This record gives sequence, C-alpha cells and structure tokens, in this order.
Amino acid sequence: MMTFSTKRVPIVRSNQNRRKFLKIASGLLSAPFLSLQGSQVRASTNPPLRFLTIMDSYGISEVDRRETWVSSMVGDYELTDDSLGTILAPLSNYRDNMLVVSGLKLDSSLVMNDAATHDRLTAQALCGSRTQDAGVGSTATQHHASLDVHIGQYLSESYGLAFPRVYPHVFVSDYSEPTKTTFCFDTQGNQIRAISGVGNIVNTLFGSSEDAQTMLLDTRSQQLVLDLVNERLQSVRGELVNANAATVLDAYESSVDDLATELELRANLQCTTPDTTGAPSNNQKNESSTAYIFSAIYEAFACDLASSITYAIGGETINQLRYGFLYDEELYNDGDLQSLLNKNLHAASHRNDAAADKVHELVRTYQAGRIAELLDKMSTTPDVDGSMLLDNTVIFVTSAMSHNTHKRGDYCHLLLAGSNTNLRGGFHYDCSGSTNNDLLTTIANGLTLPDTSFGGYNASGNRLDELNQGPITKMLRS
Amino acid sequence: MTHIAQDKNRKLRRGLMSISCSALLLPGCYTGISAQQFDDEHDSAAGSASDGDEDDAGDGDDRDPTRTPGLAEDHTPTPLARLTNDEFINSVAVLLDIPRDSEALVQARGNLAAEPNVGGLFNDADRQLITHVGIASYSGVASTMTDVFLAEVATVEDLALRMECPQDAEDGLDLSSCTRQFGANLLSKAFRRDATDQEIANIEALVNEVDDLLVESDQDLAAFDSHILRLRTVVRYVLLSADFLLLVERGTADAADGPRAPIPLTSAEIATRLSYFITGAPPDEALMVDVHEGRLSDPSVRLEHADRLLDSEAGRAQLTKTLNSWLGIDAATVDAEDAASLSTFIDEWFAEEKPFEDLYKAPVSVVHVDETQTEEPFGVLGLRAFVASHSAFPTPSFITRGVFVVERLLCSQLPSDIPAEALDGEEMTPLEVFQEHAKEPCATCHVVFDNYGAAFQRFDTETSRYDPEANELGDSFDLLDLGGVSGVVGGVADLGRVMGQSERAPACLAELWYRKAARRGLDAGGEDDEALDALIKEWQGSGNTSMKSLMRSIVTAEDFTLLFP
Repeated sequence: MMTFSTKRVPIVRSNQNRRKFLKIASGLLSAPFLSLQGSQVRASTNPPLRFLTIMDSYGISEVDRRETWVSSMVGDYELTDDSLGTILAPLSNYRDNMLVVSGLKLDSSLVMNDAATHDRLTAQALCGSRTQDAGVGSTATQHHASLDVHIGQYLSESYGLAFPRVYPHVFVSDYSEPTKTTFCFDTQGNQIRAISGVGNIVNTLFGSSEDAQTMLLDTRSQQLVLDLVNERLQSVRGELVNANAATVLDAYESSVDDLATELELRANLQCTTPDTTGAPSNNQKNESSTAYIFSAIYEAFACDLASSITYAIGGETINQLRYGFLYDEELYNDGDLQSLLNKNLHAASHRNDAAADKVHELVRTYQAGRIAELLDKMSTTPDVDGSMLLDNTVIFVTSAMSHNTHKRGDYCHLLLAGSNTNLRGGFHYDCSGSTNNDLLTTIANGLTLPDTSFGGYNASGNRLDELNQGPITKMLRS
Repeated sequence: MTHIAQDKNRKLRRGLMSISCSALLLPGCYTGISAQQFDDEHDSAAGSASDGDEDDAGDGDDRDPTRTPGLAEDHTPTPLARLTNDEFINSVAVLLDIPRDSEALVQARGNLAAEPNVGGLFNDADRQLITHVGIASYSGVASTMTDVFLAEVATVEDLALRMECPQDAEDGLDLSSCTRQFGANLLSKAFRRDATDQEIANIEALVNEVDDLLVESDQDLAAFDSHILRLRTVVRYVLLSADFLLLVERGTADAADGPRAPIPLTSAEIATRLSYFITGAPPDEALMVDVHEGRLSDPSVRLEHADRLLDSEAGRAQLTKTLNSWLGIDAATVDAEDAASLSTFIDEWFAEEKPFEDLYKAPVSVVHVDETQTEEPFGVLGLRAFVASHSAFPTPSFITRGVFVVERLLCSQLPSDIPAEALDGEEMTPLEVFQEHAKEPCATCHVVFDNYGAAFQRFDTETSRYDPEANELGDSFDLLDLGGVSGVVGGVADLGRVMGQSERAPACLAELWYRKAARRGLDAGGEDDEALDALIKEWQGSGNTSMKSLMRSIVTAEDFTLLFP
C-alpha cells in the first residue's frame, strides 16, 4: 500500500511573475521555499476543516432497512451498537461520529422525469436544485455549485487557513464514463469531470515521479510551457475575427493561469508520491481500486492537498464495479442478475428484489469497511493544528438512489463528523418535515459556512422558498 | 446563436411547439397550461407553418438562381471552436504516431474534461469553453502520451530514431538540435499549416529555457533524462497551444470585399474544416498536397477529397460515432453484439448510398421474446441497441422513447419544464399512466410524445425483445402532426414509414450535419434557416437522398470555404 511522510511547508499564493519565481525557485531546489515564504504565513485560529463526499448510485432497499441500516427510522435517539444494521456495523468504532439521517423530503420538482439522462436525475443530490434542461442528451447545467464544490471553495478561499491548499475540490472515481456527465457542478454551474483510475488519481494529485527533485524540475518545465502558451494567446487575440474569440481566449488564459498556480502550490508541498506498485490499471474497478482510492484520499488529506474531495464510488451513473465476491455462485442463483451486474450495478438497483437487495447490502457493507479503515488512519494521523485528521473532517455518505427509484425521498444519509466540526454525532435524526435542502445547509453549517439555505431552484430557475427552512439545528453543536 | 431545440420562436414547419407544463394536476402527469392555451399556441404555430410554406415558395422565386446553395447573404458569424475530445485524441494519435485503438489512448479519452453534448453533438463552440479542469486534463494527457511515444525508447540512440533525427557524418548525433527540429515539425503538423518563423523560434527558446533550468537546478540529471525532459516540454507546449487546441481560422483577409464581408479561408483552413468534419482528425497527406497547391477553393477538388475520406476507415468510424451519439446509444450499457449490429446497419446504409428513408424502414433482424428472429421493416428504430438505450426503468418507456423520437429524431421542441412524475403516479401501471395522459389536462403536454413512444410498445422495456402480440397500450396510436409526420400508426413499422416519407425527418438529419459543419447552434428563424432550407432542397432534389449526398452538398457549398466575421 501507499505510504509517505507528511511534511508541510507553509506557502502563500504568489503574485510574482512566474518567470521570476522560476528563477528563484530553480536555485533553491535543494532546500526549497522555506526561507522564501515562511514569513508570509497567515496566522489562523481556525481548525483546518475538510470535507469528503462519498456518493454511490445504488441506494438501500426499503424492505429491510431495519436490519441493514438502523433499527428504527422514527424519532431521534442515541446510537448504540445494537441500533446499527449490517451495513453500518463496520463503522461501530466511530459511532460517536455518526449522524444517521432519516425522513427527509425530496421535492419531486427537483428531479428530472427522464431516466435516460441519469446525470440530470442525480444532480439534485448534491445541489438541491434541478438542472436546467437543454434538451435530450444535452449536457445539463446547474444554477449554482454543488455542495462539495461550494464547501471546498469556502474552506480554501474564505476560511482563513494557515496553509493554502492546492485543490479546493477534487472529484475522483473508479470508472471513467466518457459520454456521461456528473453530479458535481463548479461555481459556474458546469458539470465537472471526475479523475478516474488509481494511476490517474495519484499522478494528478501528487505528480508522476517518485523522485521529488525530478518532479520539481518537471513542474518547472510545465510552468515554462504555460508561460509560452499564454504569450502566444496574447498574439492570437489580435488576429481573430470570430464572434466569440474574446470569450474563448479569456477562458483559455484564465484556465492556464489557474493551472500554473496549482502547479506552483503543489511544487511547494513535500508530499511523497504514493507508491502504486501493484495497483489495478486505470480501467479496472474492483476491491483493489476502491481500496487504493481510499488510500489516495487519505494521503491527499494527510498532505493537506485538498479541502473537499468527492468520490463517486464505482462510477458516476453506470457503475461497473467488479467486486469479486459478487460473482460467488453460492450467493445467488440468478442468471439475469449476474448478467445485469456485468453491465451496471446501478441498473441492478432498479430490480427491487431480494437477490438485488442482497447484492447491494454486500457492496455497501464492504465499502463501509473501507470507510472504517480510512477513519482508523485519520484518527491517528496528526493534523497541522495538533488535532487528528478525523477531528477536522466531515464525511458525507450519500446516494443518487433512495431504494429502487430516483424519485423517492427518504434517502439513507450518513454523516461522520469530527470533534472540531459543528455537527453533533452519535445520533439517529428523524428529520421528517425537513428537506434535502435543509440537510445540505446543515452540512455547510457543520463546516462553519454561514449559509442559511442551499439550492432549491426548479428547472425554470425559480427558487422554491418552501424547500429551504434553514439548517436542522438539532444536528448542530451551536 | 441558439440551438434549434432552445429557440422557442421556431416555426412549426420545423416542428416546434413551445408549451409550458408546470403544475401537478393529476396523478402521473403534470401540466401547466390549459388545453385552450395550448390549442391557441398550436394554431398560431400552425398558422406560421402555413405562412412559412408560402414564404418558402416566395423565397424560392426571389432567390438568385446563380447563388450557391447554402450561402446566406447575412450569415451567422463563425465561432472560434475547440477540438472535441475525440478530435483531440485523434489528433494526438496522428501527431505522435500512436494507434487510435491503443488502450492508452482510450483511457486518455476517458480522462479528458467532460464536454457538453448539445443535441447529439459535442462541437458547439459556444459550449466548449476551456476550463481549468480541461487544461489540466490536456496537460495530463500530454504527459501520458509522451510516455507512450517513448515507450520503446531506452537509450539516446532509441530516442534519436524515434524523433527521426538526421545524423551528421562529421558531427555525429546532435540530440538538442534534433529536439528543436522535431518540435518545429511537430508544430506544423499540430497547427495543420506551416509553422511561422516566430513559432519555430519560440520552440527554440523553450528548449533553451529548459537547458537553463537544468543548469540552474544544479541537478545531476543524466544526459538521456535531460533529452527526455526537453522532448516532454516541447510536446506539452504543442498540445496545449491555442493553434492546436482551437481551430483557428484567420482567413485571407486581403481577399474580403469589405469589413463585414465574408473572408475566404486559406487552403489549410479549408482542409482542416473538411477533414475534421468527415474524419474527426487532422488533414492527411493527400489533403496537404492540395493545400500547398492551393486547390481546395475548387468545389470539385473538395468533392474528390470528401468522397475519398467518406470511404476511409476514419470517415466511416466518424460517421458511425456521430450517428451513435445522435441516436443516444449508450455504449456503456448496450451489448457489444447489439452495438455491432447497429454499426453494420449504419455502415451499409451509408456505404451503399441507400436513400434516407431506409434509415427508418430498412429490414432488420429482430429478436423476439421467444428467442426467434424475424426480418422486420423497422430500420434503426428496431435495432436492440437503439431500443435498449431508450428503455430506462422506472419511467414508462413510452415516455422515454416518445420524447427521444420527437425531440431528437424530429428536431421538435418539447415543453421546457416538464417536472418529475407525480409521486402518486409511481404505483400506477404503465397502462394506467398512459390512460391518464390521454385525458386533459395531461394530454395537453403528453399528446406531443406519448403516442410516438407507444408505437414501441412491442419492445419489452427490460429486455428490449420484440413481442408482436403485445398491445397493452392499444392497437393504434394517432400521432400529433410534427412537420408531416402524422397519422395513425400501429407500431414501429408504421412510425418508421411515416418518418421516412416525411419532410421533417430528413430535415432534422440535415440540421444535425449542418450544425456539425458550422460547429455552433443554429440561429433559428434567422439566417441559418435560409441556408439550411437551401441545403435540404439541394440534397432532397438531387435524386440521391443518401447520407453521403448530404455531406457532399455541405462541403461543396461556398460558405464551407468562408469565414464570417
């Protein structure tokens, strides 16, 4: 498995001309940046909070939730080992961190009535709004950023961290769906592509070289490239008469600048590139890929690379997880289900029968075990403020599905919240009367965002005020 | 510029109905306007249709008979377009001599930033803005592809061979100089034109800066690794350059008649348009020969190249890919065998220049629920890849399929704000939902598409197998008239026949290819209507209504060679 030492070097975003920066930095490769920027560290008393969203696409059967999820979905109560069902049992060591949420209302006006476009169907899960429809097969846009992006931006830019993070938000997945789009939306409301596959995730987050010096040299050369790309963009500007040239070139230039900043920040972090020896190839999605991706998430948090990470476990909509235990002939004797599993674990959810329910229970239980392993590591890894990583983290485990349909309310939501966050763990919360939007607002508040509402826009862009009643205060410490 | 399906003012002759459905009134359906309100809009649109037909006749009489079909007098400006993800990958494959079907390229394709699919196409320039995530993904692919390019390279000699370095008998191998030359050659291939002296000088300067970086780093990098770093830097620069990522068209401004007049494209720019339109890849050597000879402003020369490229493996693959996207085929969920059947069907329809109507009524092999197979005149509508792609449970399939046919295959606009099904309707059977939809006020919206979808009732929602006896929703369905697609149909055979014989269905396909060539949405009700109408008239009037004929008409039109400021 991947291991590395966590050594953080404080830096700030540099407004220097990159060429000058490179000249300085390249002369400091043997002892980079400490003396250069250490004095510019901002003082902060805020704990370095972070957010992890784990999103699946298969839901939990309504039939046996009392056995698989929690013993009762009615009333608020303190969680005990006995109240945790089979899916949650692997997380029992973290019972005091758990907030199990039942009974939320999902307003049907937020959900598309077109099952052929799953990306739009699932968009409401992290947005609390319905996508703006642009016709069959057209890529949908949102009215605002999804919760994971919104929180990531806040924690990276407005929160006053002592250490700027490279990535406000990162979206990773086991499986790439080139023709599909996603449920994560950026601040302009555009869908975000996940980085998929273990190798790609590690290379993107940490860099491709195991040798820090070589990686730094590679980064510097990339910055030279970006400088020249931008110089050429300036030349091209005056030569083009196209109606949209200025818009296209502005976006291009801004993107190049952003990437340059990202490279600069990453170059100043001393994260050892995780060892992916033996990891599955980028197009494999199995127990091993899931485990490696959880490890990469842990290491990204440990090195403080990202404020918010979203993991589409198994893929965004198609979900082609190939967990070996699903192909045990003793598990079930159902050729059609076997055939369906070979194509799409999500589609199997729609069967809504005992065999499919069992499959999903096993999958979710396995994944809960991996989440527990992540928590084990986070609970023993010191954060930059002296707390443990887990103390400063909120994990939101949710699904694009309730049970066998996208349209039902009463999703099975699980939050795992650290002691330095504003969420009150250890309880089952019966949130009947509240909406999914209220939960999203509550999570934002749990990470100290001052939001009083989240989302609630219908397809026409009208805000439905009745969907936002404010945070669910009983879930908050203050 | 707006896409046809987004423009609520489009005339009914294009099949448009702009209606609004926003309030839940009955279980299983939503509606928002009264039947009278819809009737008023429908009548109004129908009036437009009638007027439009008369106008069309008038337009025809007024039109300059010597004018090239498709050339509007006041054309919508040409956008600055980005390569689509497929085009990017195809171009990288050509540039770095990497097989298009290599696993590394397929994986790289999947890791590019998401791109907007507008009505089945990914090349709408206004929706293709480059983002931070996009640039990062291009940069990542550039690194990965450089690794693939260098996969067999273990020594300096291997590297020299890979870069096709000339060896000077006296001075021996000069890899630094060779890298610069390799970069200059790569630039011309990447930019799809001869690189300028300044651009080549920039490559020189970039390599020099890498050398400086190596010196200043004081790092003991092996000579081989230094060369690799130089090469990697050059490849990254080329693949992130505006002249590669964007289809930059400067034109020959000196040849324009005035400040707002169309600007003739250079030969290289025409070749680029032609090649990406047909193959999704950069111009090949044969095209570049005619680029250098300046022959591509001649429509007959473009026609020669078009025919050659349309028959090429790349051209046919591109056509299949485009039609798959347009038909909403979900490659991730459709069986390989079904996908192959669809590809074969399209390939034969295209290669043999079969008439348009065969798309919807040619005989195809249909698998029945009892595993038997028969030949049925269903065209693409009966192929399992198509049916299965539009059968998503739990939405009743007559809705899913009907919406797709009406919106995508007939280019008709649906109500823009149909909300989700009512929760109360979830427990209803498909028949109960269908029957509720047939009543007012549900019918106000659902009359547009339910019956189109009901024509597919004999294809099982879950298995997509055919059951000729299935009639759960009824024996026949009365189609709302959408641009000549109308009448009572009993099933897919009837629907395909009506679509094949209509004006609307071929016009919709022509619109798809017109948008693909223009790389933008259409200015519905504006200049594009005239150009598109002219294109359709020429194509349908040519006596050859095949797909190839349509594409030939597009590339030989004069506006294919012009940049509209």
